[in-house]
Amino acid sequence: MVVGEFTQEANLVVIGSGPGGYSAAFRAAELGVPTIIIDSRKELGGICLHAGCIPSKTLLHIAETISLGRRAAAFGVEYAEPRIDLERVRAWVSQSSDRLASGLSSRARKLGVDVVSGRATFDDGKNLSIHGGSIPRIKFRRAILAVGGRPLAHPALPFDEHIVINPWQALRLESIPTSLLVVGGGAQAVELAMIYAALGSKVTLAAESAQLLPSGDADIVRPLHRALVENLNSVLLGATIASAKVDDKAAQVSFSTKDGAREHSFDRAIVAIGQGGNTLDLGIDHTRVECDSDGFIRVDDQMRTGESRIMAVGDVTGPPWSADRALAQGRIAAEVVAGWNSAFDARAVPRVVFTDPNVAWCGLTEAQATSQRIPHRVAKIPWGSSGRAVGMNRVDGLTKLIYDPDTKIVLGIGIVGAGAAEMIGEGVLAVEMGVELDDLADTIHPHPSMCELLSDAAR
Amino acid sequence: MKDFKLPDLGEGVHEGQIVRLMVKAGEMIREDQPLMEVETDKASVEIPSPFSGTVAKWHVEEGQLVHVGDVMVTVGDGAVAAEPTQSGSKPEAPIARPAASSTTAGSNGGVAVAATGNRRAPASPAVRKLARKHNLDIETIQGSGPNGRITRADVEAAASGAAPSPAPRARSAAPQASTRPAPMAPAVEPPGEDDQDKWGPIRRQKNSRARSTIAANMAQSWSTIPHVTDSDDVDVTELDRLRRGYPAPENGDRKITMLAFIVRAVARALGSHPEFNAVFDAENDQIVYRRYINIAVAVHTERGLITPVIRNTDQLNVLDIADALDELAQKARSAAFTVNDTRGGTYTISNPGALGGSRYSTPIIPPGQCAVLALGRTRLIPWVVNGSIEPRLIMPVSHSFDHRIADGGDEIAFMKHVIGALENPARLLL
Repeated sequence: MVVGEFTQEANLVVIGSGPGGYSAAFRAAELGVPTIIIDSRKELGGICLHAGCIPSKTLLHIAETISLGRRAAAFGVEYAEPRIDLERVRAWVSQSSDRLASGLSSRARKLGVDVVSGRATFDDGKNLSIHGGSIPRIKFRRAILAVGGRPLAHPALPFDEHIVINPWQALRLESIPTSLLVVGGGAQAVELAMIYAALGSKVTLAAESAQLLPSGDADIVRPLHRALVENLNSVLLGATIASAKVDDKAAQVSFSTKDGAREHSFDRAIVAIGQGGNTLDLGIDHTRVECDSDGFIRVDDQMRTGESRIMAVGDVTGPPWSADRALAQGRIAAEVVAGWNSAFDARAVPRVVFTDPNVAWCGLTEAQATSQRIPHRVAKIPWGSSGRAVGMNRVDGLTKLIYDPDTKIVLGIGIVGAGAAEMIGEGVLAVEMGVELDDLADTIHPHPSMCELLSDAAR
Repeated sequence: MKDFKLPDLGEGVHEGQIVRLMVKAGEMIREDQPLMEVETDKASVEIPSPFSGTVAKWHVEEGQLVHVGDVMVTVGDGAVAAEPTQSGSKPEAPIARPAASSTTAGSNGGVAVAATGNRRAPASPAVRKLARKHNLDIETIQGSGPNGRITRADVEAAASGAAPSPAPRARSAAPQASTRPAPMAPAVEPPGEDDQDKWGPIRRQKNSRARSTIAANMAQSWSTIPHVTDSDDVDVTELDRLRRGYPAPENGDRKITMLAFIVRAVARALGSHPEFNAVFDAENDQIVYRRYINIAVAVHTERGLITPVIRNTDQLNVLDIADALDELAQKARSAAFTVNDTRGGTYTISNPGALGGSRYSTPIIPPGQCAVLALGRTRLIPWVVNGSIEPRLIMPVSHSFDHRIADGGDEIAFMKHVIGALENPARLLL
């Protein structure tokens, strides 16, 4: 340290201002802990707000609006093909993010959270250097790391930020390619495939797994699979990229699948195969924080790391990656810093894919119950029997319950279909509360509705 | 061989007509592959197969009316190895990604499924939170509800029945002493560096900053202030009855501790006896009377004894004081606590009774103050009331004061004021 260099002392420093970071900072401030939040962006909100959840969900809503217009033809209402003004779509997305970011800033001001922009690196377990910020160094009593993830690159198809791009860049909609390859089979990949297909690209989705959304049950993924087959150019499962040739115009990609090898050329490729922990440039090796080989930080149920002063929350603690989990962990870390005995003991974290149809589940899946030999029984109802779904021409859905055969306690819930992302909220509450089938069955649900299928399934 | 029966079709539909059979006998099917289409009076539904295998025999035909529970088809366990494995066997396979291990930290902080498969007693998130607040492991609490459901009352019973835990901190990595049989007397290992004196092995532990500060303050007080300690008993039976019924129901189930009332009583008495809110200034041969009342409350933490201050205590009502005490206790054990929170105290209350021990003691006056009140453990004892013996709740108190500032008569008057208020507590609410 340079003699005379200014060092700010802080009770709590939160690094990263995505959902994990801002929820931690705001909760800590509410509990009276003086807090500084640091982010390399000027605006609060992190990837979620500026390059992830919010832009992608906004674009998926736009995609769904387009598809609703087409579906209306079934009941005799026909619209002309939509004309998409890409400039205004982009403007709408960035307006939405900006509006939310300014909401976060005013919340920070009201709570007295200091916001510092700059890149933070650890000098040791209690000192941070801030690069490009107004304060050169911070000595902290506690730090909460909420630095998120970074997109994983595919070894055969490395990012060049031009033809081969990552999901964050893809959501900026720099252009709509005529032919697009989306690599990956997880939530991010299927959502991006659906967005670009709606905006006019001929999309090929190539996943290494035998099933899209491999951690979801096959039956609740199937309706989404059908919708993708219908809307995309092709969906390749069990497909590995054998080699790829990328020049400044196109990517020539050869796949090997169980049906043999094939080769295609694409104007653009989005690689969405998951993420690693965003811990590379953090100086983490100057601390006792432990990372695994993917850069994820090990934490206990109170979000503590191997270094007693440092905690970590959100995507940087490993999968399942989701903003809702980060929000919850952020609050817990802040409460622990404030001396509360809080812990992350959620029994159900919602897993939601905002495609059309939505796929959502929480708690135990049927596949997990089977492979872990947990005694269980399954009740499911296809939406073809729902008066509401029939009238809306949305029978492409399924509601299922996984429950304990002895106690009849609901262990998991899966829903696929229009609006499942909203409906799973009831499912999460049910699993957290440990409700029995009769609790769901005897709770009066609106009729006709899709949500009443939860209570039908429980009967 | 497995029989597939027509499953529940929902919305009170018990029967339907088979529109078409979608697989033939002898055909191999995968789990979830559509088997047949059934038309009910509401809609037509594709029925998927719940298992994989070879279709051995159809028991129904197209056009037939079928009922929920009827056997539709028999499926043999015929080899289906040629089919790619569906997710059933590998539920948590990582999303397609190039060779990379994906065992991660997620299993600690992230994965939220019913984990290891051992059944967990149902308990709502609010009840689980309450258990943590009491430092109880929810899994060790016996649930009284159906299926062993743990209720709020179960947690409260476990919390009050638990032996008073000496350490305020009782979770995380260290095994829970209270829930396990005591190990064979492993003597407590003192901290510090091993050394030897002429009688045997010893350890030398360098003092922490906090320990050094406490030591210096106590030595200074003890050697400069002529202490007098007065001990007395307070009948808090009425106070206990009052606090249990207080506050009004609109404040919910908020519980007010005895301590909040005691702080209030002392703050009032200090207003009438300013010498106990003063400090002796030997250098200038003066007594400095403060015109503010800041009562400090001793809190035992893992960092040692600290005394956070409730500022302008005389301006707070009992409910305010209870809030302030909650906040201090929480803050004192957290990163939010700073040395400023312990400065400016004019009188100190220490509550060793809350730790389970102590009747009378000889508390040491903190530097800069005139007096300190130590509360012993309240207990039910036989007490003479109006000539007869009754069980009464009695709290022993010990009060040390600086004899340079006040004399015995002053102190007795002050304590009378405090004790009088605690024994006739209704006036503390005004």
